Amino acid sequence: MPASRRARRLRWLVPVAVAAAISLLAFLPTLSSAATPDLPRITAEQLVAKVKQSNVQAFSGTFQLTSDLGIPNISSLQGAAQQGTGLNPVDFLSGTHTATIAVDGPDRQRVSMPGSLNEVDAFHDGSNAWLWQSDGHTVTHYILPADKPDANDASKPPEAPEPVRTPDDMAKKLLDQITPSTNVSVTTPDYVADKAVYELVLAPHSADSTIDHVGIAVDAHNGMPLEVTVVPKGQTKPAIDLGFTKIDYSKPGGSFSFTPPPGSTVTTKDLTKKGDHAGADAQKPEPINPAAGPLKMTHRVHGHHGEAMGPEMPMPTASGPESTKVVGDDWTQVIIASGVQLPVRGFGLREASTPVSGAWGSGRLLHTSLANVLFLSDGRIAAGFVNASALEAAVAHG
Amino acid sequence: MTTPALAIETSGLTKRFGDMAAVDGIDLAVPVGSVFGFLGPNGSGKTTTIRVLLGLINASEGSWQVLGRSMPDAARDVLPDVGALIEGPAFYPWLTGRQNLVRFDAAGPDAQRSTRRQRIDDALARVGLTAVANKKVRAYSFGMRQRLGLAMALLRPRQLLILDEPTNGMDPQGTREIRNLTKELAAEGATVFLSSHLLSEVEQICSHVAVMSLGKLLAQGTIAELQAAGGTKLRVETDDAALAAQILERLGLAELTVDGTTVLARLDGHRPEDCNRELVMAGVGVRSLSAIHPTLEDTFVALTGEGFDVAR
Amino acid sequence: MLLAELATLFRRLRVKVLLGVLAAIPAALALAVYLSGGPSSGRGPTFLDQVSHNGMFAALAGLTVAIPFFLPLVVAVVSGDAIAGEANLGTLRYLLTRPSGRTRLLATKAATVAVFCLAATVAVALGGLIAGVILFPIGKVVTLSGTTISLLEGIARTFAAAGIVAASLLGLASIGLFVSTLTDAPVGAMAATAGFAVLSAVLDNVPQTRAIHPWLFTHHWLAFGDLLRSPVRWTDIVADLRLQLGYIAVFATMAWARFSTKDVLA
Ligand SMILES: Nc1ncnc2c1ncn2[C@@H]1O[C@H](COP(=O)(O)OP(=O)(O)O)[C@@H](O)[C@H]1O
Ligand SMILES: [Mg+2]
Repeated sequence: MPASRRARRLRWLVPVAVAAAISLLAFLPTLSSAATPDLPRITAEQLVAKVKQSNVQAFSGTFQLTSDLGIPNISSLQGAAQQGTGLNPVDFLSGTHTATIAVDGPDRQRVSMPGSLNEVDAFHDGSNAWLWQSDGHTVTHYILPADKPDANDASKPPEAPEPVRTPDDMAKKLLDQITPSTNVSVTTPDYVADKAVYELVLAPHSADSTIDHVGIAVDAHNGMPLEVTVVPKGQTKPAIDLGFTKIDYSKPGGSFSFTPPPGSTVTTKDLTKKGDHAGADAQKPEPINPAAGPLKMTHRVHGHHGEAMGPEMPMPTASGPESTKVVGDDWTQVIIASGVQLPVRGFGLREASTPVSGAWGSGRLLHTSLANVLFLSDGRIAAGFVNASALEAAVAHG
Repeated sequence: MTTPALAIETSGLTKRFGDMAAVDGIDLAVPVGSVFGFLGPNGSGKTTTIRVLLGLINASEGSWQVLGRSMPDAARDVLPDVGALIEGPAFYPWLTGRQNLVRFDAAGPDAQRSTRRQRIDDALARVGLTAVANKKVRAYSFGMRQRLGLAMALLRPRQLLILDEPTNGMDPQGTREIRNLTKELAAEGATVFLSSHLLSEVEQICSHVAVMSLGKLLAQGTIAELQAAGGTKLRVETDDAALAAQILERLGLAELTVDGTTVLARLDGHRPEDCNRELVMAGVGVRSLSAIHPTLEDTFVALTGEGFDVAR
Repeated sequence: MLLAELATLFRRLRVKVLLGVLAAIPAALALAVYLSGGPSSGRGPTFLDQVSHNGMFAALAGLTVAIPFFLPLVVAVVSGDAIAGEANLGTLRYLLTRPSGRTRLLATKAATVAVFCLAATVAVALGGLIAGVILFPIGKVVTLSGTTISLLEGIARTFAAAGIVAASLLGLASIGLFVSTLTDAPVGAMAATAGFAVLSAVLDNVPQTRAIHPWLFTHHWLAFGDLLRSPVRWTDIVADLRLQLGYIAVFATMAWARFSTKDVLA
């Protein structure tokens, strides 16, 4: 029965059709997003001005950091870093990280960074700031001085580790750096987080720079920077892409303060007193009163913030540099620090870096598609967004 | 539905595994109400035919009908009336005999739940397994499993029972019971299609026989028809065997063999009395003359050529 | 038919043992925490450090520990066995000579495997909950976001998480069902299915394959934890469910295309 055999073969068309339909559904949104918004053309100067005039006071949304620095052995770095807290700088070197943010003026902000089965939340209600880390249930409570020198920066308490920056922050900083070393242009409009945007493109002139261009997507209506992308030379995809995936300019609701849950370890840092700012002695873990909650909670004596950081912990500030100096300018700046003690082995750097040597000496080079970092055998560290030879040259001169 | 004359009918049914035709263009005709012996040495394609009949495997060519309905399209309507035992029984060893029957009964939408208990009890009693019904099948002997398999085929009244080598692995006592059971079922009006490589089994209980060899259907019909087809022989005891053979040859009898004082030849429609007259008139001293009807075994060997060896 | 199928599955010693071991995982975790006399120092699986404060977390810790390896293994065993196991026993030919049809039999098998996935994750949650209640105090539940919810809501969210984990396993289960229609050797089908789970997990951890990460059925396996945030974060859970639905659609239809036409020779 050849006919029925053909009918039997035809059944395989069903899964094929299903798979085709699914991929169509999955890729259709990306195809349709190729459409560009209909916006009047403006010059780079007009756009920069628009950003400078931007005055968005309240918004809430979700932003995403996607980084792909092309570090060869990043997993070893991650493995070494995994044992730390939920906030790990090395984590941000690869992959996609999402955070939600709510801002209501300079005094009220909250940021929530969900990780895999953990979460870091930061709250700021004007006179207090809290940092909650679900790993270890630790809370750092900052009591802020009444007079704030920089209102814009208040969302980040000075000592709270805050590696993710909001796009507007980063873009404004970058715009300030526009100098004759940079070619500034505006590309075709696009959509970011469903908003029509202009994209400002900053391209360094220097051949030594590893950066091809930096793109800043700006909301065409209110001038709020919504996305920053950094594209390295020789690549089309950005190595760093920080941008909103969702944004809402209405006043966010919800609380901007935080009540430490029972059982958590609270470290209070009173920034109104001068001494506390620097002294670790004043940090005292504050047990939550067991009687306050319905549970019998034991006070967790271990895991003081700061104390848990053993010598093997991969914190970049393991011990401060004796001296730093900056060589070069603008895009090709190289920072050279000497006397930095980095726990190289624990950091997994050995696997990620390659040995190099030259007239300037010898060391190990950590090469990423954006930054190059040179760990010299004499204890110096040089880093910059420049190619390896420019970095070696800077070391030789400096 | 008018009762069809044939319970199973195939035309040009072929199943190939790769290049080899396990079933090679067979035209079966199983009359309703018959006990049909499907005879053939191991590997001759009996089980393969049964699998195709029941829709377990796709035929390469040909068409077939079961209970008058075209298969496999009508499987849903036909299968409730067909009980089957295919290439030995198979059960879930971690379930009891009864639980196994419940599971298989519930696997079809045709089985009434309200009568399930009663039907299972009856089927178990019929195959003599009532005593061990609540034992795990893991603990059953092969013969017990074979009986449970039969019980499964008997969970509802069936118009057609397809039994593939049902006495395989059973003791003589069990074999006899199965034989009686088959006769009972046939007496109740079911058509029984029974495959076997054992001639004696088929000979004892079947009204019809089909003979398979190397995937081909060599012959089918009633037992009497098949025996006749094998050819009746003439046997002559005489003092002059050579002359007798000469005369018989002249009469047109074939396959003459002379062994001492005995002459054998195929009758092929000649009447023994005519032969006798001719021999006597020619002066041959006939001590005895008889027509020998072949056994089914002779027919079987004649047809398959190699008896009961595995063909391939 | 589904009931008979379920009864057949859950009466099997192998299945009972697997469920028992699944329930024992969080119980063993809780016991280890109990015997070591206090919270581990923030290391080890998430939620485990909370167990000594609130026994309820043993259930979540159990899910976290079981999802990378043991749950997929168990699901591979049961889904890989679904058709191949019947073929191996020979019972498949008897099921198919019942007038139910192959599509229906396959659908019943699929439903049974799905029920098993749920039973497996609920076994983990229950085992954890019972051990936690026996060994430790229980009370209000602190979410990952640092807020506090009532014990009842915490337990409800834990079982919802077990449901999400069960749903997360359905993609793998449908792969197992398809593989199971390809062979008469159940062990082979189980191993192949478990192999797919390992492959997916490995690819998900290799940065070079980042482009396909969102398409791997293991990618969102930890999304169930998002139920323990406040507000509950649905993005990954929804992405997970959509992805699993996609896998189910493709592999279930492949299983159907294969099973409804194949020669049953066992
Ligand atoms: N799955 C299969 N693949 C290839 N050949 C097979 C398969 N099943 C049966 N055969 C072959 O088909 C022939 C007929 O087998 P079968 O129908 O089981 O014979 P019988 O039941 O008469 O003993 C045998 O030669 C056997 O080797
Ligand atoms: Mg056979």
